[in-house]
Amino acid sequence: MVARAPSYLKWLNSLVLIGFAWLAILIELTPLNEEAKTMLAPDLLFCVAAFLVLRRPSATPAFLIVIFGLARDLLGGGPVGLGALALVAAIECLRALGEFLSRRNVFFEFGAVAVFSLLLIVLQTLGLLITFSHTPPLDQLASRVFGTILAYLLIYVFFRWVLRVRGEFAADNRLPRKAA
Amino acid sequence: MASDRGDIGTEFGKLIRRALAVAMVIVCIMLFALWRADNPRIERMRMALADWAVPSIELTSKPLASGADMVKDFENFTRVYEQNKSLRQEIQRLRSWREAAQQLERENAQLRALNNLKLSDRVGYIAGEVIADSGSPFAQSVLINIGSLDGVRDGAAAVDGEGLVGRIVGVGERAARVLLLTDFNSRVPVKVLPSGRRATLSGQSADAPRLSFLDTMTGVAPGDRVTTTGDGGVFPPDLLVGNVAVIGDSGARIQIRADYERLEFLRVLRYRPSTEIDTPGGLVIPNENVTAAPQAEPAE
Repeated sequence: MVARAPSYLKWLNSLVLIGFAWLAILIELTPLNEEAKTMLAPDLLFCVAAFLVLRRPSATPAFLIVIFGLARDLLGGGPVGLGALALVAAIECLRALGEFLSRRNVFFEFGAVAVFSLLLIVLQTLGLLITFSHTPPLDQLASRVFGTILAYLLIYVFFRWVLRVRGEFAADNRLPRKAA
Repeated sequence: MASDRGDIGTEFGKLIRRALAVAMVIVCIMLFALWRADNPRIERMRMALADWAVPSIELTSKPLASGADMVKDFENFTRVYEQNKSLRQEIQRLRSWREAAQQLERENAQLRALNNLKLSDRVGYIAGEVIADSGSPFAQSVLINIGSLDGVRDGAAAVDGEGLVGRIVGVGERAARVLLLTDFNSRVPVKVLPSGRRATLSGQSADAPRLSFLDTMTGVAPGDRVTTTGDGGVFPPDLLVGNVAVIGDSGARIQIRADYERLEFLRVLRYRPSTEIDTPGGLVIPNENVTAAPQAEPAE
């Protein structure tokens, strides 16, 4: 069951998504020299979208996710469209699990994010394989997944305890207030 | 009544959102198909977005890079003694190289004067700052903050202080994308010195690209220099690429000389190959002014 929030609040939440998703893309693109070389940049856009879709699903529309995925694909120089498709698939799966996860321990959430960050990479690799494109080495892909899981912990801490973003599910006792 | 209207509005909103999402997914599939077909529109879209995003990328990258530099400076500070020692050794080594280079320069000037050799093609350059990298295992490219307004052309070679870094694959007005030598799509004609064997350097998404189409390994040994051939007239000849690192069953791999760990500034070469006359028909001389070419005197 989802508590209905006023429309202005929904737009405000969407603006939060827009702002942080754009920031996530910019941070991903920042060249950090040796650090970037030794450990690939995590998928921060996925982390931000995953956190928000589990707490503010109504303010995290799929079309916005696709738009940001496309922007990231275009700016990053990778396969255009494939990253966005994989991202929206993973986020929609998480959206479907949102209410279930809100009633469970937070470790279930980390587990689900880890599984879907892996799915994200698998989908992209499959997309490249079936179109006879080159795929990156496994160690780089594994490093990306590992980096994303670690980054999600930081994103969780930042949004949950610094920005105090709470869930909108009624079962989630983190947002007991009725919005409208 | 109002509640009903609200419900209808919410349902309509949901419908619109779903329709938008489906439309975006279809657009993604079409874009992916275009990307796979190497359609130039994709690169134009990339560069249009990059042009628009350059100010915000620079705004974000500067504080982050400063933070990373602070961490690096602190690490360097803790290793200052070791670095001092290695720098002294480096200075000694470079002094001997300087002497050798000056001697070679003198010798080279004398030989040119004696033989009236044709000077190499003019190579100009423009320097730019790396403002973004791909940040993903699916591409190996960087974005620099110079574009067509600065004279950057598609296909131009990008170098750092050490050697070839890659080539320009997309040019916007204020930004350009450099495809690194390590990317899967990178192919550069090279030659291995001193044997002079020609090959194609193919990116493998790993640190050490492979030498493809090398007919035989005879005369190729680890440590050999690899330079560009200049074939095709895109890159200038004799640009240093790296050294042969390892020769295995799957072919030779090279260690790129450019410092990919510190790609901060790049030079984009503005190379103008000399006009070549391929066929006799290309040589136009007015008939009335044609005079007999002086005969070379036979050597005594």
